[in-house]
Amino acid sequence: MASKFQNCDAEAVFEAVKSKVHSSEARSLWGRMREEIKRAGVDGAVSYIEGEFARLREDLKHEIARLEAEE
Amino acid sequence: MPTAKYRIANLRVEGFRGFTKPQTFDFGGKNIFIFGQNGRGKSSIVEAIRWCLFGASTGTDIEVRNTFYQEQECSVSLVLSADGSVLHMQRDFRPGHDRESRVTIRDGTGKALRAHEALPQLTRLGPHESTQVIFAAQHAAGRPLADISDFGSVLCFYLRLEDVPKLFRGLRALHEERKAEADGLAKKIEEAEDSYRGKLREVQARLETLSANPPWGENPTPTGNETAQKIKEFAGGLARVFKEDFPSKATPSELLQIGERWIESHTTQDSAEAHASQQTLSRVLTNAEISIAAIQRDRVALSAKDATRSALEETLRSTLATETLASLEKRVSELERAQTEKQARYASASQAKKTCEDHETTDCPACGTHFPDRAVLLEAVSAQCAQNMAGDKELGLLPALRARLLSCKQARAELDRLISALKEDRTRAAAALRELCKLLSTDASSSLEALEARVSELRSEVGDLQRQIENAEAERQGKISRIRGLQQEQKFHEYRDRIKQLEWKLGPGMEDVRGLLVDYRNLLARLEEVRLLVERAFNEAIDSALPALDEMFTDVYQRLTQQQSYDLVRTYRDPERTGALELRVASSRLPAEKFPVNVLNGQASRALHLVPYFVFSRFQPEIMELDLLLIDDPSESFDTSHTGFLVQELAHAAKHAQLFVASHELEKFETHICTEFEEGSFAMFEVDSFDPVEGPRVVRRQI
Repeated sequence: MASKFQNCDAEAVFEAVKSKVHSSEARSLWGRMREEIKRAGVDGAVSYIEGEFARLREDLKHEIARLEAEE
Repeated sequence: MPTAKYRIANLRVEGFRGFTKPQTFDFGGKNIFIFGQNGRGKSSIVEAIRWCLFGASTGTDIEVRNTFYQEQECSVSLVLSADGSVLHMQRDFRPGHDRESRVTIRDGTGKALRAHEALPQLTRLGPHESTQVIFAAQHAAGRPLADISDFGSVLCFYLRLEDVPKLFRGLRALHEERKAEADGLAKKIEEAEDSYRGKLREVQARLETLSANPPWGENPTPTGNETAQKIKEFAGGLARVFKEDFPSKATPSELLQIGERWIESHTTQDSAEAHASQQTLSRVLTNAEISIAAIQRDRVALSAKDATRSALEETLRSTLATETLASLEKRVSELERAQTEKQARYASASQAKKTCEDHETTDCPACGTHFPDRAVLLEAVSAQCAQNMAGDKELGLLPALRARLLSCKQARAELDRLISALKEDRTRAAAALRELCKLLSTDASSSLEALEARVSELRSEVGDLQRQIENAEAERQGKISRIRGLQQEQKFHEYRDRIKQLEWKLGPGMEDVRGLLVDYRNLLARLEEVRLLVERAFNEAIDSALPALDEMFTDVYQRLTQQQSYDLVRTYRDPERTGALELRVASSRLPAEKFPVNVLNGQASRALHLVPYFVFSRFQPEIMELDLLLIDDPSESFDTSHTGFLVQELAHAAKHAQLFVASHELEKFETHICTEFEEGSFAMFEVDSFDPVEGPRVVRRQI
């Protein structure tokens, strides 16, 4: 049974993604996501990106608040 | 063929659906076929196993409870046995105590285990994606059907692909959320920029207005330092004038504000004092002027009254001549008495004469004197009448004397009243003069002329004060005007500084926040790039799996249905919705075309719905802790010959899975079961009756 569906599992899909990522930034992101998937599953990868967004969001909000406060 | 670890050895049911009091069924790990007429509770056995494993798949736990069971308990327990190990699994629901059912799992030693520890794959599969539990359409109301609507999810599970759709769906949702957030943040940045631009325009307009009429006039535009120095010098001068401490640390704007406060404070105080003095003096002056005018009027009136008095005295004096009013009064009184007596005598003589004339008498009726001759009497009486009738010279003066006396009396009365009034007027005039002296704070014996001189002085003082106030106000205005000019000059520099500041903020000052927004959007772009790659790789994986999978589906489908028209099963992947997979049929004559299942007759359609479960149950049995096929009425719409094919397929599945099949068609199944299944590998139960109080009566059917 397994031979019929070789390279059809999630691991194979994730490997295929790795080979297709072109930009260095996306490759870096995908590398971190893979690490998180291995460490904490898919939810961990999504959480990692959420964390990245949260960090940028906080910086942005801080900067926006500073702009607003200066006026 | 590899098989799952556990098989169901025993089932205990209490208060579940048609069941009331506890009933226990010993299955011994065999394949189980349960027969009975519809409505007797055979489906409840299959469903009880499913509920114990997964809980309520739809609705709530309270719907599976037997409402009429007095004990109110709802409990199903399973004994799962494997070589050398056993698990006891029990699900309980107690209405009034629990909001939802609770499951407990213990190993052979009684140690409690968590579901994902004891049955990790089964827990991961969950009730909604379970393919092993198949219920016929007759139980459709509120119960899961043999349904292929979640076919894609189930396929992913068995291909070990389920992480992929989970990932790209998570990334897609995240992208949508964060994109909306990025738009919101960008809007806020734009709002801040708009605010800066608005302020810049406002300050530029102010600067333009100020520059059109600058406070420095035709002189060269001062530098900021020059203006600051001017302000410092001006404020220093004010501090000296007002004897204030110079605030050396204050900014030019603050110095001007402080200076204005000093001016207002000091000039207001001085002005208030001057105004108060002026008002007091003005009030005294006004009152004094009024008093003087009144006194002068009274004096004129007094003089007039004095003249009247003199005239009256002269009139009286001349009227009385040598007499006094008393002597004149006495003389008139005496004359009036003499006149009265004369009139009485005349009346008496007249009466006597008449009596004498009327009567033959010789005695005088008046005095009784006897007259010998009546004629003499008459003559005497007539002479007496004539004598008393004759005018008297003295008495003739009486009317004139009376008029003179009246005139004198009236003049005297008028004179007396005038003298009295003059006395009062003089007293009042003296009092008014004293009041005026008091008002002007002068000696009480001051003359009116002296007081008038004092009033004149006062008038001059009030004028001086008024000029003083006007001068002070002019001085204040001058200082304030100077401050305004310096403020304008200072504002000119502030506006220029502010414009530079706002231009910087709109340029280099926004670089950080813009850079962060670019980073945010870049992350969004990378996320989207990764998501698209994941979806593409997923689609490629599915596409590579589908030929073999469709072959397996077709194989089972053919065995079940012997279909000639639509003889192929094909999986359709929706190109628009990644992960959406649908089971369709095709024909060998038109292999490139895929048709929806509604082109099939009822039996073929029903069989097609069962196909994925038979196929998937062969996938990865080695990792499943419990490989079950729970099938309720699988032969619905199957004719007798096709029921044979179904049982053959069930026997095929039974090589790795444990079957629990419920059917009301004992006759259709029994022979085929006995033919296709090895003796000892299965057991048959029959629900031969149902009692609402006792529940279904289930007996083991002897083979």
